[in-house]
Amino acid sequence: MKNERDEQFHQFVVSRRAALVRTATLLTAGDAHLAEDLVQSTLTKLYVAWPAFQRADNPDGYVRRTLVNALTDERRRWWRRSERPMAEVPDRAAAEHVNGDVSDGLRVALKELPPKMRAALVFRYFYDLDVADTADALGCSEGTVKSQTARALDRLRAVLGTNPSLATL
Amino acid sequence: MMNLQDGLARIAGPGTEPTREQVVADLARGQKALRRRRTMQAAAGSAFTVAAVAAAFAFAAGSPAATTTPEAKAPITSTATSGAKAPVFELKAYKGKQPDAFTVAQVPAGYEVQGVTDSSLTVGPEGMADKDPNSFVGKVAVMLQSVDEHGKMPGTPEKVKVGDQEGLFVKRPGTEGDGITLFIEQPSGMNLEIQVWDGVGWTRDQIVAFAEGVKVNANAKPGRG
Repeated sequence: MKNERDEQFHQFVVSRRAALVRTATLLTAGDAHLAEDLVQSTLTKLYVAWPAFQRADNPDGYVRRTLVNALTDERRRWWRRSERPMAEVPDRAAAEHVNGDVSDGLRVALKELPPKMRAALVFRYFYDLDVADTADALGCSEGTVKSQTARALDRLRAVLGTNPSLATL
Repeated sequence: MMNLQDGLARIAGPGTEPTREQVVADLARGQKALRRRRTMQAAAGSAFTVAAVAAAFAFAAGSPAATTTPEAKAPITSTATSGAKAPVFELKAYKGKQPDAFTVAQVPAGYEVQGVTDSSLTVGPEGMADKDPNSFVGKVAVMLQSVDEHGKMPGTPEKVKVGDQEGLFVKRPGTEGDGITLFIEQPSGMNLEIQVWDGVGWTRDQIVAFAEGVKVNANAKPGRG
């Protein structure tokens, strides 16, 4: 029999898991296995801390922080190493590849960024979070977000060349 | 020409809805983790209760032999002030095999050094089934700070005196309810990191007292991630 926590968590997973996987996939630069791992760890942590999550002023921010923490410090995921991984990562459609387009180089460039710098880029330029919300997600200052995103864009330009979409950022 | 957002969207993928099996598995993992956490909290409480009862008997019997062991160098005892059920924390000289990477001078009564790797060790209640050195639930973990953190504090640090050194307590953002970390800078420039799971129930003073007996050896390796 499910209790209230179980019911709420179930609804949360049904409604939010797909988006979490997308975010995690970006945060891991397209690594589907690690993304699934991060999502599992994040959801487990949310379930354990469900009352705190429910009381959070900014639930979306709470989820982002949890996800970023899972990414940036494996040892912070206290129980993850003792978890039994799923035998196989569930099937899901692979991200579309278009030969020669910016996503190929972008994936490589993202992978070379440090995790928090990558996360700053994703939150600022994919999710359009403002600097304050990005800083909250990363657990750092707004100044750090600005410098991290600037450096991330510099690195992308170095890898991708003079792509017009980066020139306007 | 594709813009940055389109490129990121392609990498993110289409966002497939979860299967029923995935949702059930997520719930089961959460329930298991919560049970494990509660079990560890109960186990830690039981260990303290045993120590408290033993100390009470020793005190009642007036036996100096029972309250002072020859191998215990200046045992540090403290009692929380929250009432009759307050746990007793008594550091005893650690007589077991020392791990290579670290030296542990004292552990609290009812605890033992269990899982050991070249980059970390764990201290847990005696007889604890989970001795996996990579599992920190319900335990105290000793390690060097991850090189990927470049010596930076992962949260707002609070200064504390650890022997002659300065320590920093940090509650990592997003880990509310999990534990607290004490960092102590080493002569090598690396930070010793002691993670204490909240369910263990140690106070900050007790964590500091334990930390004063921890020495980092030359062959300790920092982790990554």
